Amino acid sequence: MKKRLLVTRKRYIFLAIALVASALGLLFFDGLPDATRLSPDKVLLKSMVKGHFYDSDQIAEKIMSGDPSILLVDLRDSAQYAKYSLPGAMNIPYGKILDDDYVGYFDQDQFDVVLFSNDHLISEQSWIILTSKNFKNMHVLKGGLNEFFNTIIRPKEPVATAPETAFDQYNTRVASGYFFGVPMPRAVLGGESSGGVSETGGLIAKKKRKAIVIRKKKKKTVGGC
Amino acid sequence: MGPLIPHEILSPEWNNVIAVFIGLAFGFIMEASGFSSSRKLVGVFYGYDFAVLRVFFTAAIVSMIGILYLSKLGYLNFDDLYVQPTYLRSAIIGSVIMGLGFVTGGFCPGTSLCAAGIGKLDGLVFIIGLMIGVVIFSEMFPLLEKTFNADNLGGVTLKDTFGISYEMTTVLFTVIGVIAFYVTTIIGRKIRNVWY
Repeated sequence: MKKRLLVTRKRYIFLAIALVASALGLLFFDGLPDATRLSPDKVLLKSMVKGHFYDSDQIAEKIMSGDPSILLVDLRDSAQYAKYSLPGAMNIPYGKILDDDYVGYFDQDQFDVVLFSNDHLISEQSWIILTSKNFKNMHVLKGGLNEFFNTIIRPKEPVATAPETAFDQYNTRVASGYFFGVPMPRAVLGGESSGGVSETGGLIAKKKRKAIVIRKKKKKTVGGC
Repeated sequence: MGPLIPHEILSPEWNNVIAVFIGLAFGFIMEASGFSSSRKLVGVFYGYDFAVLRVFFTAAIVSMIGILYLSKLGYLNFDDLYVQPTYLRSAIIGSVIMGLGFVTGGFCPGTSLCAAGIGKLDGLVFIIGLMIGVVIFSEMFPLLEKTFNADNLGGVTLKDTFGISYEMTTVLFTVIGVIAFYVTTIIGRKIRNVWY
């Protein structure tokens, strides 16, 4: 009995030493070189996960709430940028993203960089280039400005049989559009005259107007033992 | 490489299949550790059995060390792991309720299923109580929603809060764990005459 206890005790001591040694090993083991460099297949995998996409609703909400953590980067040329863009966006044309003057905006971990252009093709390509350089927090506006225009500036009214969530989303988008300078549609104003939707929707919004948008909070899954 | 399902190495359909196998292994280990006995489980509160502390502390430390090594070896992308958001107020209130439920009922939700699995009546009664609690909570949710969602700190980790690296946090936890194992062993040796 005493011998058995001694063996058990020795096992516990061995396990305790093994745990502490493994934990201490973490302090001195920096990982394999390959683990820190982002290889092309890893970039490809990352791009396949699609976790780097922000949709128009998310971006509209961030702009309206004045989220200081995002950095909107318009990748189109300066002429197009001058015509219209998202409020607060800066212009770094696609061909200049790796220029010394601009690379500092991407090689940082302070902001969530949101790349956008007319579609998301150019932004996706830029995202691949920037991510392969292991720059963190790179995101892409899904569908680009075209999608933003179609969802926020000119949202499509759901059909009468659509679920309530579709109407909630539509109303949120209409309210968001109001922030970006789109006049309220007649239905939302309860029959008052409101005028049409302007061609650009006033995307560049010189004067910001505040709109209160109530969004339902998503329920998170919770765990337990 | 990992996490396997978000990286599409395995299709999402595998989620449930893997869950079944992990569930079986989890149940087996709990039963093997004696966690289907409420008297053993509450021993940690009264100070005569510390198996709960040892098993869960060991599991936490092994996971912490394992995840970091897998990440450093390039098998797991640490940044892609989901971090449960911290709702500070709910966490404090929930912990108090959980602790009270644990010490009075003798089980936590997982172990009650384990106990019911081997035919223990107290485990079964605990599950019924748990279900009633779930229904009451769900029905009262509109009243509790504000508290439920209050003080959301987001997916923060100890690294974000205290500014200590993941590696150092793991070392500290391991050392605290080993000290806790040692202290509880000494206490356990002194309390030998408790029948349960």
